[in-house]
Amino acid sequence: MRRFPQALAVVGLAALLAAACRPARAPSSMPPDLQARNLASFDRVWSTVRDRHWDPGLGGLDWEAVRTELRPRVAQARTQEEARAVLSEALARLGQSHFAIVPAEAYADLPGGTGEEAGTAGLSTRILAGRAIVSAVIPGSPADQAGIRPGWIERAIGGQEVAPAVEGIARGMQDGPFRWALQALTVDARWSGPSGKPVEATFDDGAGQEVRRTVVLGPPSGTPARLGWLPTQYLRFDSRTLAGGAGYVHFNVFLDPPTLMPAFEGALDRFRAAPGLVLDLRGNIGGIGLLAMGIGGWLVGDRNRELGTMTTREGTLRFVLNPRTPVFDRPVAVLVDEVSISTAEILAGGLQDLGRARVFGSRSAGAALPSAIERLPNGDGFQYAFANYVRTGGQPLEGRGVLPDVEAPLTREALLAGRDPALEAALTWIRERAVP
Amino acid sequence: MHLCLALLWTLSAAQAPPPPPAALPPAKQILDRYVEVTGGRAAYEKGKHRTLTGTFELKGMGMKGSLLLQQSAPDKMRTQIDVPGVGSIVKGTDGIQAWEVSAVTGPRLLEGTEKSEALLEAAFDADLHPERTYAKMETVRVEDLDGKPAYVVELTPKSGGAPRVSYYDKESGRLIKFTATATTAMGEVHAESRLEDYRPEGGIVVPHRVTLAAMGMEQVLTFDTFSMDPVPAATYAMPAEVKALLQPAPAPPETAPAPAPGK
Repeated sequence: MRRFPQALAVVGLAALLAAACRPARAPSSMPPDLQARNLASFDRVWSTVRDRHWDPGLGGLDWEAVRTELRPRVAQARTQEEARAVLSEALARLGQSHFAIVPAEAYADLPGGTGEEAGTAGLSTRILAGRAIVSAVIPGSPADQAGIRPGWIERAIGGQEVAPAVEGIARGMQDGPFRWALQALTVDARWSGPSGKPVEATFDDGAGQEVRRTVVLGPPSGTPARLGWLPTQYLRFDSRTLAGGAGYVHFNVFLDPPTLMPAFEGALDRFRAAPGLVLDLRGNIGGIGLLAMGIGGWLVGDRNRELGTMTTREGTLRFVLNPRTPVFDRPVAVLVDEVSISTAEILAGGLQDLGRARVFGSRSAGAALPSAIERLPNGDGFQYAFANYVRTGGQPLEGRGVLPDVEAPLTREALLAGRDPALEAALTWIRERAVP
Repeated sequence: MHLCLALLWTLSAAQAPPPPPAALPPAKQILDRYVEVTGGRAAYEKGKHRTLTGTFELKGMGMKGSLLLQQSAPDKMRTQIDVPGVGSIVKGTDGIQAWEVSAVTGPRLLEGTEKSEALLEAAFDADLHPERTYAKMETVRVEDLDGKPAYVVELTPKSGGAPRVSYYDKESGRLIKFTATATTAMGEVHAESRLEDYRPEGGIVVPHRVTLAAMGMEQVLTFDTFSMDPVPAATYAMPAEVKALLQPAPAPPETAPAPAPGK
């Protein structure tokens, strides 16, 4: 069974992926009952967007025309993939994040499912100068054991060339962080499969040599986190003291509050005497939006401060911080990159606007719309945004992202040299703030 | 949600209401009838505690959890929702202070309008003694609800804020819908609730299903058990993490605080 890249379910990029890979039309040979459920699913998607999108005018998009054009293609679809692609194409017309179709297969890991798809290689990817580059390898992970190193160029994974997928996504999408995030997550998804599965891959190493490695996928790392119809994610939390004494915290999703919040609180307790905190939100794909308020409450002691506002058709809600005691009052550096998405952007941008944190790295994805996920009559999941999110300065995060105070983008050369420019810049800043 | 649960028990009127428009019964009469058709004053006066358990569901989202509501006369209340993947959210009042402890945003002492609303919701005998809770009550119209006429009653809390609007089925006398604006930490939220599945519990007929629509989302509360057994007083004690918020701030650390970024 093909595994749906779980990260996409969170960030809502599947629609754009589907649009980039539109299948050919063909006469219907689908069972009538499934065809009926697909049509019902299209109708549900269409009416939900009509009724729930925060902008009743949909930014000028002729939504009736979209239905007139695309609904017949659902009826003509020969396969589920074709029907799904049409639904995704309808959502892609909105040109916004957090509108996506989650294939029913992604729900195999619900309770009672096999869970066999959750294997991991323990590496992550970034798109640097148009190429898929290994940006991090978890020590001791299958990728590490296979000798894969940061900075290597990923040429082929599992017998499939990487470049066509990366280039396919690039077609029809504006160049920028959002596209790079989608490309990176798509390449990362190639490294998924059941635990124990060998994945062969070809790289260019740091010396320009082509190298082949076989990675035997390991069990998922982190704590499984479930939230409604969101396919299971794994929360990975890391905290440690860096050279110079600064505290460092990284986590990959804003999920599972009963695990995440105590872990974050415990880390801050250990860092109270530290010269500062590095909050690394690179690669954090978001999750529960309100957790940005929860995390921010540990860092901002003033009351009635807010990160921003979300606006639905029914009204506006403020992301007000609830100060926690004792508040962490040391300097805070936040690291972001193009795979800092959604809630990660809400927190980073909010702390930046409040003057509570200095942001380092590269511009975030600009994909930050409060959303919900429902199941459709055909079994697929349907993620849709129901609110816009606006920073305190009045600018939406969607399409803009968080621009760092200090640009320190990742480069292949830095990776090969074992350097982390954003972290280095953050530590320099913290060191300069330290009281002698 | 808290508002919705609480309003199940605080639905009545105020003293000396103005005369209603012609042909409309006084609001007090409608609310008194509600008490009568759902068990009668004697049954209401008998109970001094309530405990409800059930489920909380975000409709269509695959999110479902457990629900516990406890309330004791005259003014104590505690609600707890536990949702897998989110954690626990507890709201409570001891009649003086009101608080919330959320796995997502932490402990919080409620203040201002939010506190007033929490205290109002906790009024145990609001149905029997609405004058203690509401400054004004008025029957404003008859409105068709699902094809059946309903009296629309506006209730203005003594503590201020916008009126709560209740809809009583003209034929059965039961409350079938109410709307209110709740004050939350994030701002005001207008909520509309539908009450269904009335069944007797402990001598009172109560709705077992409440569907609440707010901010475009639907929450369904389903009550499975109902008890009038005494609730231990400690249930309503302020949690330690909330008490800590009332303590003076600790002395600043020896090292200097964070400077403004951007330097």
